[in-house]
Amino acid sequence: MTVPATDPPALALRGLRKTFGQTVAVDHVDLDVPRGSFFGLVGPNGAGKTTTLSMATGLLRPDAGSAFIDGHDVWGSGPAEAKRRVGILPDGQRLFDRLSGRELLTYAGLLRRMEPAVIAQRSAELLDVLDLTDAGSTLVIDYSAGMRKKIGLAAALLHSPRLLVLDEPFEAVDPVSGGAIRTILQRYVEAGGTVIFSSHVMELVERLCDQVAVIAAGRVLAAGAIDDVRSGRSLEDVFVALVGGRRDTGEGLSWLGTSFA
Amino acid sequence: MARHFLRLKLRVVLNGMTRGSGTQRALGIVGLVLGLVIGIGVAAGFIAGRGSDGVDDAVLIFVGLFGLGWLVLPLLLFGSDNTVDPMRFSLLPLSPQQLVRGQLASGLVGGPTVFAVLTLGAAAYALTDSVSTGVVAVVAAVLTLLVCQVGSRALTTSIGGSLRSRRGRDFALLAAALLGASVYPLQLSVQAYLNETGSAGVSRIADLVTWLPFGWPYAAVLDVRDGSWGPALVRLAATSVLTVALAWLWGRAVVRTLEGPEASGSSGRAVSGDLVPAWVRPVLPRGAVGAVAAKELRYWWRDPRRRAAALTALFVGVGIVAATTITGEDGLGSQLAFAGVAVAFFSTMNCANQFGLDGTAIWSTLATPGSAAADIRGRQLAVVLLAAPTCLLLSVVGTVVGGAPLAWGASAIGLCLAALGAGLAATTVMAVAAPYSVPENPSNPFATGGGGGCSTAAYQGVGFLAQLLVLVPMVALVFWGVLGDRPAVLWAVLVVGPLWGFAAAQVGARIATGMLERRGPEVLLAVTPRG
Repeated sequence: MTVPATDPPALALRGLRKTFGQTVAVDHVDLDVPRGSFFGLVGPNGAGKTTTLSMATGLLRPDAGSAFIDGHDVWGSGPAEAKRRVGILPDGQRLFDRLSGRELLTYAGLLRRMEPAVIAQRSAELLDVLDLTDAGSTLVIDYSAGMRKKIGLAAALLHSPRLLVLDEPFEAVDPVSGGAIRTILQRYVEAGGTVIFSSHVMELVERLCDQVAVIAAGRVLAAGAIDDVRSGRSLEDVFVALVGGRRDTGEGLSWLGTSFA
Repeated sequence: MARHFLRLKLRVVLNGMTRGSGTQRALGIVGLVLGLVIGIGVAAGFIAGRGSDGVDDAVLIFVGLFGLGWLVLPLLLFGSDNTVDPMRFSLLPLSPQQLVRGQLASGLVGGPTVFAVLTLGAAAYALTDSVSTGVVAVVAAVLTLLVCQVGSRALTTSIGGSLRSRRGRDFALLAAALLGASVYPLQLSVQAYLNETGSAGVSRIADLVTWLPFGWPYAAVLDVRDGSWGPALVRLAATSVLTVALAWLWGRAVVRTLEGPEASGSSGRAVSGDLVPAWVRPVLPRGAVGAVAAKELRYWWRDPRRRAAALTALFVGVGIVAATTITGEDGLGSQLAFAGVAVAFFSTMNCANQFGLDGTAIWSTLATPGSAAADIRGRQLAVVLLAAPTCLLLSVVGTVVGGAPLAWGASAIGLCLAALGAGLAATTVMAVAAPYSVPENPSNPFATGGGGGCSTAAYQGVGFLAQLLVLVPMVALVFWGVLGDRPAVLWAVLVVGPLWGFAAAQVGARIATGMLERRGPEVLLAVTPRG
């Protein structure tokens, strides 16, 4: 399967596979993220979401398969072109946390060979919109988890990429900050950008996304427009039906609530 | 209650040895075997030496070292033994007394106690010459272990609060690194002292131990052997009282820890907004290389591990050269001129695992196209900006203070710069070829993490050799000039050295850039901490 040369999807994954020792983390993942879509990647813990997104953005080398950003091969001939067009917020990776928020954004911008004046102006705006202006002079290592997500998002947005790949951007983020992030992302998609993010929270994905993919045990179980995937039910029901697992712990634990310590 | 603590400790020790990664297990077993071997060796020495001349001094000095080690080592290892930290038990309905008794019991279980029993017991035997002395000796052994154990717990718990905050841990790291750096110069000074004073010096040090609280019990044994029971009983009683007092202090510290608020570390130091430090702005190139160099400069000061490593390199480099002058024939020597060279060498050694120290933050370099070259060169530039002026200054000062001829000083400057370049070349390539993960915010300042054990050590050894090899031609020139008394050659090193260093660094940078571009994701994987 190849990627069409004209009007390629923002992100195309073909047959990605990754094994860690005995464990198969990602087992033949095919995915198309259409341009201008708000794409949600949902799955339980250990499903391979982070591994997939890392392989898609050039941070983790796949054992097999390929990834294309805007038609450019991430692992082949055009990694530079591919990486220029994407902004990444990875999950569980450190930032340069001995820098302050403002310094971190300056560093990210200079590394992307942006003009210092442009960096300064955009950083100020980003910090303002994300309510981080006061914390701009504090070291990132002293940030709370939510603030870290926000500054990571700011660094991903700084060079105005066409595609945003966000791994668990709403985890540990308070509702106010979460609302700010949501608004920014929605404006970004309306202006023509593409967002793909991973999450556990079904309500959020239902609210924001127009495309969704359900992944479990390293395989894509369902993908497409959110209404097609849901087909009348709630996304949580579809998710549980696809992924399986126990539900309804109505029995057992009879001592809980009757014999207090 | 103490029984449960014992079972907990045993389970933790057993798990450490049977589960956990291969490296952890290997380290645990190696540690155990090493401890046993040393313990048996010391014990055998004491038993064999019983009654001989210097055995009293030997026992006292051993007790001194034992006490110091028992007190200080838990501070460094705080956090690797979960049963040491009372905060772990704060949610359980335990009274402080129960906690203290439990921790005392569990603390006495484990490899170190076996070591203590072996060595202290043998030491007691070595001092015994009659039944009465023997009884006192056994009491002394038990008391010594108790007072050391209770004392160390009291110390750890009292200081424990500050070790929980980020700033406290940063400071502990620095203190531990400086402590480690001063070990070698200290050892050399002690050696020099002993060389001068001979066995009289040894006796004086042994006497010093009898003044320390953990030396009192064994001093009491010596008193009994000499027939003076009065001072002996006083010493034993004093130790017992001290132990009880320390236990009470420990209890108080536990209460404070459990009930007090967490020392908050997020006091958020404010820094100026500029990435590039003001003092270096004129020198730094604009663009990506300058940005990386600026970030590195910030990190060398702000990251406690790097700061500790940099200061250690400084102290060890100066210390080693200075120590050779002390143990040498007469006063200050001309080799002080080369103090800068040693510092240059050790400073670049710190760079051998740069990506590991940064941790997974390297992802931003991978995600930014074309930034591998900027990353490598920026790092090199930062090291040069910090180390070159320092080493030059040291060379000049060393030449003046050591009274070395000018030609030596000139060659030292050249050699410094050559060493910097050679070191950067070797370690830059090492950092990309063999990175390994380092735990993020360790409670233990000396933690180096899983690593990969033997293969990593082998790589590091190869890197060290490479660093030396690249420097050999320059060193040979200097030796030739110094030994053959050829000032012209030495002055030539002033010119040739920097050129050599610069060329080496460029070659290293080029190789490393290529490697980073090709195997960036593997580097990221290598520096991701396991578990």
